[in-house]
Order: sequence, then structure tokens, then C-alpha cells
Amino acid sequence: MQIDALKNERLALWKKNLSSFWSIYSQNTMGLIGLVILIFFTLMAIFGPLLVSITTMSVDGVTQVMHPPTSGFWLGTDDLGKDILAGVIIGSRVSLLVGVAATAISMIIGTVIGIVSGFYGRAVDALLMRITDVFLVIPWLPLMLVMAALLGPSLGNIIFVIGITSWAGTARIIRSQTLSIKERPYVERARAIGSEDSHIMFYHILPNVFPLIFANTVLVAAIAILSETTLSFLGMGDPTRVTWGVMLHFAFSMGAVSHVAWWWLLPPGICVVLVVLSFTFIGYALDEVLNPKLRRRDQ
Amino acid sequence: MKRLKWLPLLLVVLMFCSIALTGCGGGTQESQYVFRSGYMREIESLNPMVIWSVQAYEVMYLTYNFLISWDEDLNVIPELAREWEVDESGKLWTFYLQEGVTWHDGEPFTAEDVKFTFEYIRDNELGYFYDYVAAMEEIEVIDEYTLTVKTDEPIAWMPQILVPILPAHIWSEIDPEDAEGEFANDNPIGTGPFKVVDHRKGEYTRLVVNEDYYKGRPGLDEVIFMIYANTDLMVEALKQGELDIISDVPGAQFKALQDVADPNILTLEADSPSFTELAFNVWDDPVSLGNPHLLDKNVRMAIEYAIDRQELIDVALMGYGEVASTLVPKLFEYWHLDPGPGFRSFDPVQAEVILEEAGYQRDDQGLRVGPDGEPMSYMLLIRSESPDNQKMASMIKDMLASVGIGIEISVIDEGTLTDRIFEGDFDLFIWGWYVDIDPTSILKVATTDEILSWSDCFYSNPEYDVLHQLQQRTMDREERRELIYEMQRIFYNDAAYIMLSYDPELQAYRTDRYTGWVRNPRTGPVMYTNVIDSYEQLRPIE
Amino acid sequence: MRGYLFQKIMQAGLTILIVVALNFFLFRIMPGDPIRVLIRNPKISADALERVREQFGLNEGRLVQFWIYLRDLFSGELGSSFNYRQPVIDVIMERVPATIMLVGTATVLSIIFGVLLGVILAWKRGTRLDIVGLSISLILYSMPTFWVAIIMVMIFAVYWQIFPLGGMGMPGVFYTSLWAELASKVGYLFLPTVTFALILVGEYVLIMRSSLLEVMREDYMLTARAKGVSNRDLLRKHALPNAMLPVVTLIAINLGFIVGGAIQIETVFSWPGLGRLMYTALTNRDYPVLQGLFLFVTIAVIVANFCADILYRYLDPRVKS
Repeated sequence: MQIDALKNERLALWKKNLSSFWSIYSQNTMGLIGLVILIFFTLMAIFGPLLVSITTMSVDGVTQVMHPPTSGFWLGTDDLGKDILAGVIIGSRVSLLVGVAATAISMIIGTVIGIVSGFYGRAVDALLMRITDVFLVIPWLPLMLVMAALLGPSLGNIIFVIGITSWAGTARIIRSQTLSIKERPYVERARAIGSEDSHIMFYHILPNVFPLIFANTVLVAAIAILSETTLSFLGMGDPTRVTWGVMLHFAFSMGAVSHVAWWWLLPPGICVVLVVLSFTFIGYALDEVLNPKLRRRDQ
Repeated sequence: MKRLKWLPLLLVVLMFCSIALTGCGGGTQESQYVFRSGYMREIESLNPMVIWSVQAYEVMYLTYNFLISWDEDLNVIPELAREWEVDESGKLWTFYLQEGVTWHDGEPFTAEDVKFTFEYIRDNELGYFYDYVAAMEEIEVIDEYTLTVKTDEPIAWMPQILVPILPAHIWSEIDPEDAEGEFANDNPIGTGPFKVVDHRKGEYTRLVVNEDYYKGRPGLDEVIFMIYANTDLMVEALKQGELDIISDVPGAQFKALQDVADPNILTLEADSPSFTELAFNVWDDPVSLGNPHLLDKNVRMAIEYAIDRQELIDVALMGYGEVASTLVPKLFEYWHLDPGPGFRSFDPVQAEVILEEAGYQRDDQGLRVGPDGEPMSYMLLIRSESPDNQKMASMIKDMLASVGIGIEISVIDEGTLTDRIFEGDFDLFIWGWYVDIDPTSILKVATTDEILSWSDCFYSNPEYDVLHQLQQRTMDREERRELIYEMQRIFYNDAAYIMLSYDPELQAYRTDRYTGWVRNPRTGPVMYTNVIDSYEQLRPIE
Repeated sequence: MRGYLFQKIMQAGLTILIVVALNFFLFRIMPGDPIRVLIRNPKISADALERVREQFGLNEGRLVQFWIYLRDLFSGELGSSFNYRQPVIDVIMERVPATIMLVGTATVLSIIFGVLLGVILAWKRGTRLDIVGLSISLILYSMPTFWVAIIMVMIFAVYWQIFPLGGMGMPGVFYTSLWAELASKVGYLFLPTVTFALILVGEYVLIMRSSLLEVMREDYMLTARAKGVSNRDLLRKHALPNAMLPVVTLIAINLGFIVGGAIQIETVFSWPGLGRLMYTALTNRDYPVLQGLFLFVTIAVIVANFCADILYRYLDPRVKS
């Protein structure tokens, strides 16, 4: 009975927090713009590929290759005569999917390591932090390139590689937050009662780092999208799937630059910029919203 | 604050000044006739024993000479060897060398250099050249310009010894281990028309003319090979006049250049001894990791019937290429075998007939199942380095799907592919070969001896092997041809390869600066071919 | 301070050791026999194969190889490149000047403009200029490096042929004067550097701005103002130096990112530096070079971070007092 009441209380508290959170957030212009953009692209990613199929433009039976925009093909065609607008829409799905999946992996690893490291302290902390330092210090692109080259060009590998290499920053942040939460009274009390470590970490620490995780996720997502785009551009992506990065890869290697085919080079890049911007905006907004409650880490 | 403001502004102004100056281009001057060739891959080394890239070979051809060369009809003509003869046994060759040739450092070229080169390579099994000298038993210097070579068996393709003649006085000082290792050969001394003076890895390689070249001083003063990190900008550089020639132009850019039809740029679709093939794993050994269906000739033939090669060429290769048939490319007219009416051209109906009769029936989903109960589902390995191959692969997948064969495509890099081939861990793959002028080199790829070496499909046919040994020793050209025809017939009937296309060499070069371009062979490319005639004969347009 | 120094050195040292080990094993667990890549000539006798195996030390067990690797490392030897057959150290050192030129100039430019613009925006906080400036900085920050590079090439080297298409210079050309040669070299340097600077400047502006805003709120600023220090002096002598501290650390932290950016820029502009070398080594599976580069770059970043940490600690006014 008592436990149920406690749970209900928690839920009500959650709801109140959520609504107060939204009331603050919605006042932040940047955050709103970011949210709108993100929703736009999410809808595009989910529904777009169902409504659109990649057609080839041909005039009098001749495939129109690298054609500037026309009425039927708003973003022109690529080197195979295929519709670029359709490519961009279809590419949004995989691009976002990779970003989300990689971020998920990264966040899970980073959070687990951060909490475990902060909670246990001493030897475990030292070891985990050394490893984290290593990953922080190794330049991201070379590491990703090497791993992608070793594992081969496939979507799964890309997601894996990005996830594996970007958790370090998160781990650091979560760890320091864990350190301060660790000393809080309710944690002491839980320990005194004899709660298991995993229980404490999951039910006491995790909910309190959650807002921080949330804010950090958004920034990691931005990096993930940029990473996939860069990896695909450099030829480490899956050439059989359409993503914005792959489109840029083919644009570059199939002559878009010497053709000054801006209709091929600009749209995928602009999409990436918009999505990354939206994440960054949301991240900034979240930071400001959550600032009074948590201390913001600058470096 | 104020002080800080001026600094960046000053920098900006300085920048713009510099740009203005560069833009004018008034300060630069080319006082010599410099020829610039653009390329994508780095020239990895100047040491002939360790090179493997086309560009590095081109630099080698310019630096060193062979004993012989070829004319436009692929007849062997003299180079450093002005005459040669063989005795009745077919085993003793006598070479009469050019007189008055000097090395880049002024030392005279003699028969000693040739003897040294052959022995050095033979005794130390160096590089790709070993095959050419492996059969040399004894090499003797008769006089300053005469040399005899005794082989242990008669060899039909002597004297086409594609070995760069090295200066004995330089290379005798080099430890053979270093020759294949860290010896950079940064200052190569050869007898060729040009000499390397500046080699910046990843940037350019600069050669200046050999004033004392024995065939006469070439018209060009310098040849510079410039590296570009991507093709598109390289093509643009050609258009802007920064380059004189680019070779191996990708289909899309080539077409674009043709469409633009700049009168000063000539696009050349040259015949080249290279082809693309679809190879099967025909390793008849339980160790093989390939699908056993592929050991059934019917399956392989059916697959050949199901593939529309012309369509592949038109779409994936933008129309540049010819439908291929037998192992020796059409370019070598003398040796190439036309399969005639027995050619398995595109005929999906026939494919289905063969499969049905061989016991491969369709199941409910349309996929065929073999007599062993396993579905006809195979893995096709594709090189990540070749977007053309990738396009072909997806087309082949569709074509085979329509006759009930399932294909899964896996894109891997060349290194991994090579490993998988040697482990027998593949069903099919697409790759290509670049063929030497003498057919022996490509024919041996299908011999049993070369399995786990040059062979990449594990093909083994004793009849073929016997013929191969025989043709190598048959000195009579016509007799030899009959043998080679028979070999091609056997190999084609066994269908271990499906020859997809004979690929052209796509080149583009400027015609407004230099004239005297030579195509060798007659329908072949002007550069990056087996001779350096163009480099020797180009001269500025007055 | 001394204790801090010692602790930092220990940390850096340990990190380097882990990186060294990781570096080694990362490249050994790769799929594919490096020998095949090395030789490229499938027709090679078993003896020759053995010889090469020994030469590159691929015969021993993993741990023995690791020991040899460590031993060589301490004598400054990074092995021999598969591709060029030259010592890896030489191959790397050849390319360093080009990259330093590119990265150095770009960093200097972006810091100067970043600081300047950051100060201006902080000063004009809340105005339209501030919002526009912020937005542009954020947008620049979100752009993929290679994409900006491609666009720059497309506009300035193809469409308007103001700048060269790439490379570090044109060999075989004779200049009539030193000034002409210099101008030409700058011409080749301009586009890649400016592109790189554009990518970096956004972050510096943002950090400078927020850092300055924070500093201006600090207590010691109020104290100074109360003492009657003029606005300009306030900014120059008190606010700026302190606000620039995060920028200093940012440079070091950014080094890893800069490496990634260098790879992209050098690839688009055919710039013969370390970034291009890494990419080429990757596609050629030149493991010794990759290993050496990795180590080189990572250690550089560690050392830079270390210096930044020490510098920050030394300059931080809070520590001083």
C-alpha cells in the first residue's frame, strides 16, 4: 500500500516537473526553433520514404544526367539522372536512424561508465577514468576511420563505430554529477538501509542525472549525425544505402564540383546543418532550462 | 581593444594583395616545355623492385629501358637490343646491344649491365620481374655489346623480357635485401629519356629530359606527374589548362568531357588489354567454403545466359566497353579466340531451360532449389574501390533474380577480398585483369600451378595445364596460336570465369600545347601503355 | 602547484602508455593477413614470403611482437612503411610542415577573429547584431568540414577561377621574383586555410562571448569597477585576460577535432599533409604508417592537453590569489 502511494506521488511529481519544464522551455526561442526543425525532419524521415520513390528523369528517352532543377524535379538530378529531392527525403530516414542508434549506444555506455565510476570511486574510478581519458584524447575521425575500414562498410558497423567512440565526454559529465549526488542524504539513507548498489544506482542516482543525460544526448546526437556524414563522404559508408553523407560522397566523386552542380551539393549538406543546428539549439535551450537545478560544466 | 582591431584588418588587406597578385599571374613564367600528367594514386616508390602502381611503372618506363619495345601493330622491335637471334635448339639466345648509350650519370652502357640485371633479379627473386628471368640458366658477355642467354627450355616469349635494365655500377653496391626493402632509389640512374630530379610523395614527381638520350633528345623539357586527391578536381584542372593529360578517367566525367566538346581537349576511348570478369569458386575440395552448386557447370553456364552484358556496359560503364568472351582480350587480335556460335550470349529463356533440366526447380517463392535441397542463394563479393563494379553487381543481382537465383552482395576492400579468395571463402566475385602483350601471363592464371598464387578461382584442368606448358615452348608462331586457341576454348567451355567486358582506357588530353601523340597499339592509349613513344615524340606546337 | 604538476604528468604518462598498447593491438586484430597486402605480388615463393615475414617481424607471437614494438618505440623507431618501404618516421616527418602550415595559420586566424568577434558580441549583448552573430557562429559550428571545403572549391576555384584547385604549389614553374613566388604560395594556402578557419571560428566566438559575459559578472570585476577603473581598462586589463583562459584550453581540446578537420580539408584540397597521409595509408592498408600516425597525433594531443592544463592552472586568477 505504502509503496503504491509512493509510486503515485513520484508520478505526480514527474508530471508537475514536466509541465513546469515545458513552460520554461517554450519561452526559449532557440529551443522552439530547434524543436520545430527536428519534428519536421523526423516526420520527413518517417513518412517521406513512403510517399516518394526515386525516379529517373528522362527527356525523349534520354536520361538527363546532372540536370539543374526543373518543374518536375525540384532539386535536379544526379549523375545517374535520379531525382535528388527524393534522395534527400529517403536519405533522411537512414541518416537520422544512424544518428539516433549511435547516440543511444553512446549514451548507454557513457552513462553506465559514468555512474559506475562515480559511485564506486577509487580503483574502479581510476581505471575507468583512464580509459575514458584515452578515448577523449584519441582524435575522433582517425579512430572512426580506422575502425570503419577494419570492419567494413555497412550500416551496422557505422553505428557501432560512432557509438563506441563518442561516449567519453558523456561519461565524464555523468561521473562528476554522480560524485556530487553520491553524498546526498537520501543516498546515504539508502545505503544505511542496506540497499544493493545496483538498486541505488538505478533508482536514486540515475533519475537525478537524467536531466543531464537528456541535455547531453542532444549534443551527442549532433556529433553522431556529423560523424556519419563525414564517414560516408570519405567512403567508409554503405554505398548501397542512401544517406545524406553517401549522396555527398557520390556528388564529389562523380563530378558535381566541376559541373558546379550546386543542386546536388547543397541540399544534403543543408539538411545536415539544419538537423545538427536543431540539436544544438535544443541543447542550448535545455542547458538554460536546467541550469538553476544543476551546475553547468563548461569544459 | 583598438590595437587588436588593426591587426586582423591588416592581415585581411595583405591577403587580398596576395590574391590580386596571384590572380594576375604576372609574376610567374614557364620558360621550359613542361608536360603535366595528372593522377590519383600516389607513386609509392622509385625503386622498381617494390612498385606496383600504374603510375610508378610509368615513371620506371621513362627512367629505364627494356631490351625490346613494340610498334603499333604489337610487333617486337629493337630497343636496347638492336638485334637478336636464337639457335636451333631454341635455348641459346644472342643479343646485340645498342652502342653509344650512356647512363644518366655519364657512364657507358654495356652488356655487363644487362648480365648484371638479369642475374641480380634471378638470384634474389626480386619483384615482379623474376618470372621473366627465372628460366635463364646462364648469361655470358661475349663482348662489350654482345650477350648470350641460355635458357633451360625453349621459351616462346623471349625476348620480351620486361625487365628494366639497371646500371651495374650502382646496383652492385645495393644489398639485395635492401633492394626489396628500404632502398628508395631516390636518384634513379637509367638510360631512359627522362630522369627523376624531384620526388615528393603525395605531391608530385618531376623528371627532366635526358639530353643524351640515345634515340635523340625528346621535345619536352620536363615531365611532371601531379597527384590529385580526387578525380573531379583533376578533370577540372585539365579543363583549366593546369594539366596536359589525365588517364583512367571515370565514365561519368569522360562523358561530361565529351559533351562539353572543348576543341582543345581530346577524349580518347582507347582499346586496352584489360577486362572485367565474374569469377566462380570452382574449388573441388571439401576445404572450400564456396557453395557446391557452383561446381556444377550447368549452374555456371545458366548464370552466363542470364546476364545481359551489353546492358551492364551501357548502364554501369556508361557504354564504354565491349562484351567480352574469351580469356585473351580482343585487342590482341592475333591470339584472341572468337567463340563463334558457341558463345553464350544473353538468353534468359535458355538459362531457365538449363536449370530446369539440371534439377534446379523453383519453390513457392520463386527461388530455385538444387537437387541437394539447398536454395540457389549465393554471395557475390564486390570491391569497395570500384563503384562501377558495385553498379554492375546490383544489376546482376536483378538479372539473376528473374531466373530464380538469389544473390547477396557484400562490399569489401581489395585486401579483404584477396584474403577471402585465398581461403576459398567466396562464391562469386567481380574483379579484372590487365593483360601483358604476350598471352602467357593471362593464360597461366587458369593453370593448376598458379592456384593460391596468380589463380583466383581454383580452376584446375590437366588438359589445359599440358597445353600451357607446350605453348610456352612452341617457337613457331602459328603452331603456338593453335594451342592458345584450344586453351581458350577449353577455359570457355568450363566457364570458371564469365568474362563481362573488355574495358577501354579512357584518356583525355589537351591538343593545344603539344603535338606528336602516338597511340600504341594502333587503337590503344597514348600514355600509360606498354611503350613511351608519346613522351619521346611530343614537341611543342609552334 | 608542484603536486598538481606531478599528478598531471603521471596521468598523461599513463594515458600515453594505454594509447601505445591500444595502438598496437588495434592494428593487429584487423581482419586480413598484412603480408598479402604487403606483397601485392601473389606470385611469390614461400621462401621470399618467409623473408618478408621476418623482416617485418610478423613471425613471432603477439606478445613478442608487442615487446619488439615497445623496444623500437623507445629508440624512436616506428617501423617501415608497407607502401613506401621507407621508415615511418621519415614518411610522417615529411608531411608535418605542410599540415602545420595549414593548421597553424587557420588556428591563428580563427583565434584572432574569434576573440575579436566574441568580444564585440558580448559587448553588444542582446542586440540584433548579437543574435545575428550568434546564429552565424552556430551555423558555422554545425557545418561538416568537408562540405564547406567542397563549396569553397566549387565557388572560388571552379566557378570563379580565382584560386587554384588544390595542392601546395605548381612544380616546374619559374618565378620572376621572390615576391611572386610568395604570392603564389599564399594563393595555394588561402582557400584551405580560410575554409579551416571558418570551421573553427564559430566555436571560438561562442566560447569567447560566453566566457567574457561570465567574467564580467564576477566579483573582482565589480571590485575593479567600484575602484573607478575605466570601461576600456576594465575590459582590457581585467576581463579579457581572464576570459581568454577557456580559449586557451579550447585550443588544446580542439586538437583532436582539428586532426579530423585536417583529414577532410587535405583530402578535398589535395594538400600533402598528415591528414592526406592518414587517408592514403588507410586505403592502402599501410599499417605501420597508420600506427605511427595514430601514435604521433594522439601523443601530440595528450601533450597539448597537458600544457593547456598546466597553463590554465598557472594563469587562473582564482588559483593565484
